[in-house]
Amino acid sequence: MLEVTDLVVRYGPVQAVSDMRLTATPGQITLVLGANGAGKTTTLRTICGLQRAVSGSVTLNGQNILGLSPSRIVRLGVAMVPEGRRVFAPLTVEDNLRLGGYTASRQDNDRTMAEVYEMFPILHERRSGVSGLLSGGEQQMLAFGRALMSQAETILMDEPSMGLAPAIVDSVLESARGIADSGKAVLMVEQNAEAGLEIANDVVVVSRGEVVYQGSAEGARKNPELVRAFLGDAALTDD
Amino acid sequence: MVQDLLNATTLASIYVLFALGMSLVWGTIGILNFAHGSIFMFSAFIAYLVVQQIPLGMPAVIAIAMVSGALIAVAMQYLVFQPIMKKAKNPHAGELQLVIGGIGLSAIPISFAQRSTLSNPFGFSAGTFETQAYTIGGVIITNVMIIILIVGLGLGVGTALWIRNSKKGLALRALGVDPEVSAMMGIDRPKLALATMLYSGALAGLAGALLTYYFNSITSESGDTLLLKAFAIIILGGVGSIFGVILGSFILAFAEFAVLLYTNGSWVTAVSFGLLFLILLIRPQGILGKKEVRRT
Amino acid sequence: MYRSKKHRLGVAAVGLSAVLTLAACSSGDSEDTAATAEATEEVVVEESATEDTTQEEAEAAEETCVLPPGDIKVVSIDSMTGPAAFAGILAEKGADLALKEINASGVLGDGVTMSIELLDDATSPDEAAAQFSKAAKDPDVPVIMGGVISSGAVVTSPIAEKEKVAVVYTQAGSPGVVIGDYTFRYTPPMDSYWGGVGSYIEEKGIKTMSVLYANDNPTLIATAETALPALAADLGFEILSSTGLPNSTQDFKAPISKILKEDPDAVAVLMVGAQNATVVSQMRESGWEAPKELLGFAGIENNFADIGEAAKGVTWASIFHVDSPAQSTQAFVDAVAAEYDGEEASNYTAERYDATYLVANSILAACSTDRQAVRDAMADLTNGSITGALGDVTFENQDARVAGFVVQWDGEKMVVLK
Ligand SMILES: Nc1ncnc2c1ncn2[C@@H]1O[C@H](COP(=O)(O)OP(=O)(O)OP(=O)(O)O)[C@@H](O)[C@H]1O
Ligand SMILES: [Mg+2]
Repeated sequence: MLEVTDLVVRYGPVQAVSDMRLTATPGQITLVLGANGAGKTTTLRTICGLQRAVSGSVTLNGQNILGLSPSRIVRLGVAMVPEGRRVFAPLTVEDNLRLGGYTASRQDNDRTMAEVYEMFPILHERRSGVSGLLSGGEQQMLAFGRALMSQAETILMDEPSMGLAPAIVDSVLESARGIADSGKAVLMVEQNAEAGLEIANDVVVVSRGEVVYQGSAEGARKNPELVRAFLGDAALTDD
Repeated sequence: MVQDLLNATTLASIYVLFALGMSLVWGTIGILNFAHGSIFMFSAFIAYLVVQQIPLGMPAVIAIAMVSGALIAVAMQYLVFQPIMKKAKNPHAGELQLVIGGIGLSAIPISFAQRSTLSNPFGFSAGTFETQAYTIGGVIITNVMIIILIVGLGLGVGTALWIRNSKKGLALRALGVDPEVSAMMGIDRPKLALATMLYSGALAGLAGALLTYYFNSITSESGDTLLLKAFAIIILGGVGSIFGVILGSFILAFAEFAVLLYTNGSWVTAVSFGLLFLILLIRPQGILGKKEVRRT
Repeated sequence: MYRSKKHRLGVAAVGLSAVLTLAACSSGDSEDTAATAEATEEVVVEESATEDTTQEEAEAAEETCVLPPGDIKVVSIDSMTGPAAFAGILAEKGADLALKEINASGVLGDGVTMSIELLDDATSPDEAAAQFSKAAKDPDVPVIMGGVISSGAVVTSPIAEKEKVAVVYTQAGSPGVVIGDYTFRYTPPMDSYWGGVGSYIEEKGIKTMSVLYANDNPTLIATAETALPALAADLGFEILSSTGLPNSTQDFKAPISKILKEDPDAVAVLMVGAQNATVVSQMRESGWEAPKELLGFAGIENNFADIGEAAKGVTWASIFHVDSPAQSTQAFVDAVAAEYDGEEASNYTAERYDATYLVANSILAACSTDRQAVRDAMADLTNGSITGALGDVTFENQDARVAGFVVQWDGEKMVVLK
């Protein structure tokens, strides 16, 4: 289980994240909603060691991971599907997956690669092709697969539906659900609240770096006005 | 004719030896190291200073130059490049600072050697190695040429295959594409960068020693001359492609050779750099370079 | 120590004599002249110096020629760092030695000394121009001694002419350096004496020649493109090819392959720095041996340390050699050895040593530190022949000329053939 408490992150004078509280639990998807610039990406980047925090704590199964290097954090079991997918465009699909498994053993790599290919047959078909030429949806699948290759138990996903056609959004989010169902803890940032709530277990709404609402996804689905109010409020104050 | 081809191939191998390390460092950890030429020169210079005191054979001289080159490169990485990369606000500002840092760094060993040699050429004549020429079917080949051909082409192809097929090679290629995501994959950039600089420095030292044997002497400025050519070679072959370095080296060496054989010389720079322009017009990413494929 | 000093004064007399008589006229200080009296007969420039001086000046000189006590500061711009530093450092040794002798002799007058403010151009034309402009704009600088690089001198010469301050260069052997009344050069340009090797060419019966030269070095270009063809026409040999190569050339196998096909009797090697060593050794590796000849140029010996035996037999004309029979040269060689721990004198040191004396003598002859007066005195002095470290030197339009020797590399050092 991943726990974020009282996290504060600053870019110079800009306070991007203040008092962030989050948890990610195995088998569950925690959905993080919030307006542009609310500090969602910053939070995820801080968790996986790409960004320094001012204060607060991030623990993985009780062990502090805040302040460790990204390469250390992956080895402890937190992998990231970054915003904009960021596949290694000039490299082949298979090389991207091998890089995902950089910290894993050979056996784990072979096994997981087979699983990934089974989950996303298109990646198997295109395995020796240059990954930059994949479609947006395919690249997202590759980014998922790459994160899975690391054998991490906790997977951070930053806006997996970004820039995808509506028809594909559903299938991508379905895959995310599948990943959680296989036992991983998923922390997912989404702009698409409606589609995100369909597959999430818990929801957290952030505004200007702070958590303004926290509850079950089911509750939010039943009472969409509630979330919308917080989101709208966030959007308003952001102006 | 066979003689000319052999000589041009030797020149190409020399270019490979020099450009290999520079290309590797640029294409993977993103440092366009303008101090590569001075590492090359200064490693040979240190070997020269040692040979002046103790008459050594070729293997010892090469070993001294390689160790010197590796140490200088690692020191540069540790003391200058790494701090610059850490502090850089964005990768582009960082790139420029690295180039300027490299240019600044290169001045130190060069002026030291200039002062110490009064800018006169230096070589390993105090050592025990003797160049031997053999004539085989009318073609003259020296023992130094044989070594350069084997080592240059061997290391060129070997490194290219290693980068293409090994796990660490893959990690290096990933670093060249996206250092941040590479870090997310668990690739330890600082460690790998240091190792790459070490290898590149050792290669520069090796090139320094072998070139000094081949040309009989070099000067404090020899590294800068090669630096410009290596820059052209890397662009020609495609940044990040080690096979590109080999190809670029052959193209430049053979172009230079042809110009010098068939004209009265003055055109040699114009032709080789004209060639560079031409290729960049047709293929901006270099002959073997991969086009940037990126979606946002 | 004392002995060598005395010895040096003998040399100093060669240069200083013209001035000493002037100084003697006014001050009547017999002690000053006594030390060097023996040399006054050698003076060649004395007459012309007095002849050309205008009436008023001559009178002024005779009545009031006492330089005001103090230090006369001359500026020297030289390459003390960068690729030409080897020449700059050696040149400054010559200036220092001459200065030490001049000040020790007291010839400038009671309480008058001369010193040099040394500025480093770092072997960069831009830097040379900047330093030179600053010095030329300072009216307290009576005369400037110029640096060794041609690319710097061609930029600084127009400044000297414009600011009307005399400059004496050493080295800087390209065209465009001595361009008017204010520019002097104490090193003969190479193309004026390269042909000194002509007797050797005739003796060896050389009928065909191929030339390799640095096409970005003005001195070597002038030699290859002007002096050599003229010599060929003169002596009746044929130049089969002339290949100009940039300084980025490190491997010479291609031009050598071309030359081997031409099969000339001799190859003239006019490259820069390590290039010369590489050309010569690669020629040897390709089987170029006697009776085939290799011709070099003055200064090429600095590149032969590492190829030693391979360079044996390379022949060229030089303006300076420690074994020169000229008495004045031998005195200078001894003085350098005494001053610098037994160091062997070089041409760079010799030229600047002589040039420094020319500067001191011009100031004394002018009896003034006024720029125009110093330049006029210098023009007069260089009208005749001057004997010094370089032996007998004459001037053609303020540009030095010497006969030169034929020298050859014997595998370890250069030796005089003629
Ligand atoms: N590298 C940076 N330097 C300075 N400020 C930054 C930087 N990255 C983000 N910010 C600022 O921090 C705040 C939070 O940004 P962040 O990217 O975390 O938002 P987000 O919630 O992910 O937004 P979006 O939904 O648009 O992706 C914003 O005000 C942003 O301008
Ligand atoms: Mg974001």
